Amino acid sequence: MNPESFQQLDKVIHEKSRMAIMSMLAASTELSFTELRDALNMTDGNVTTHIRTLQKAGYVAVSKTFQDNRPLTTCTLTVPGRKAFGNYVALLEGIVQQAKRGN
Amino acid sequence: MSANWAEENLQTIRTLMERASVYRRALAPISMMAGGLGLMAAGVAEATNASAAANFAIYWLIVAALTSGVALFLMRGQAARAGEEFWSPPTRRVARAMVPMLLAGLGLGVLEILTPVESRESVRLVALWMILYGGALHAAGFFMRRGLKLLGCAFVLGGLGVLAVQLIASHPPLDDSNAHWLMGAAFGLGNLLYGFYLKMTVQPLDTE
Repeated sequence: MNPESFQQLDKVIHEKSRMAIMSMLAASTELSFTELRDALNMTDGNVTTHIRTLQKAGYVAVSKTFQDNRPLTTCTLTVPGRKAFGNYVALLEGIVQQAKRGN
Repeated sequence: MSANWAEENLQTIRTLMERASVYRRALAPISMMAGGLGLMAAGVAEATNASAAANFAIYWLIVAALTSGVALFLMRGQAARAGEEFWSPPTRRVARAMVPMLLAGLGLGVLEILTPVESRESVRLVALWMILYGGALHAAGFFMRRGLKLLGCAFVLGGLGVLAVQLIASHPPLDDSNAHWLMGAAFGLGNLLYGFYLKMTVQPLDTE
C-alpha cells in the first residue's frame, strides 16, 4: 500500500469530529448548529471549535439569522469544502481499493 | 493506519450522510390538498345522501387512494423542480415509517366492507382510522423537520376521544349518519388547518 496516500489526506477534515460534521453537511443543503450538535452528540464548545476550524479553512460557511425571535445559526458546505470532502472520500476509497488489489 | 481504518471511516461517512438527509418536501400544499379533498368528499357524500353504513368504507378508501395519488404527484413535481431524485433515501424512510399503520387502516377498511351491513360501525371505524393515521404521521415525524409528530398525536388523541365518548356514553352522541362529516372534520379540516398553519409560519421552499 502506498503510504503517500495517507499523507495526502486533508489534515483539516482528517479528524473524527470534523469528518463527521463535513459528512453531515455534505448530505444536506444546510444544517443548524443545534441539529449538528444533537446528531453528533457533541457539546456546544466542541461544535463551535470544529466549525471555526472548518470555517478558517474555507470549507464551511456560517450564517446567523432569527427564527421566531430566536437566533438561528446555520452551517453549509462551501464549494471548496464540498470539493475537499469529495477528494478526501475518493482518497479513502483509493486506499481501500489498493488494499483489495494487494490481497 | 490501515485499509481497515479507511474502510471504517468510509462506513462512518456513509452512515452520517444518511442520518443527515432529512426529508425536505414541502408539506403545506400536500396537507391543504388532502384537507380540501377530504372536505369535498364529505360534502359530496352528504349531498348525495350516500348511505354511511353500506358504502362508507369503500367510499373513503377510494378517496384515500385518490388523495395518496395526488400527494405523490405533487411530491414528484417538487422533486423534479428541485432537480432531486423522487424516490430518495429520505423519501423511502418516510414511506417505510408510514406504511405499517396505513396498511393496518386499509385492512380495517376491508374488514368493514366484508362485515354484514347491519354489524358495521362507521363511527368506530373513523376513530380507529384517526388513531392509525396519527400513528403513521408520528412515525414519519422522526424523519422530518416540522411539527408532524404533534399533528400525529392530535389525531391519536382525537380518535381515542371519539372512541371513549362512543363507548362510555349511555347514548352514543354519534351514529352512522354523522360518519361522513366526522371524516370531513378530522381528515379534511385537520389536514387543511395544518396546511394553512405551515403556509403561514414556515418559510416556503423554492420548490413550492
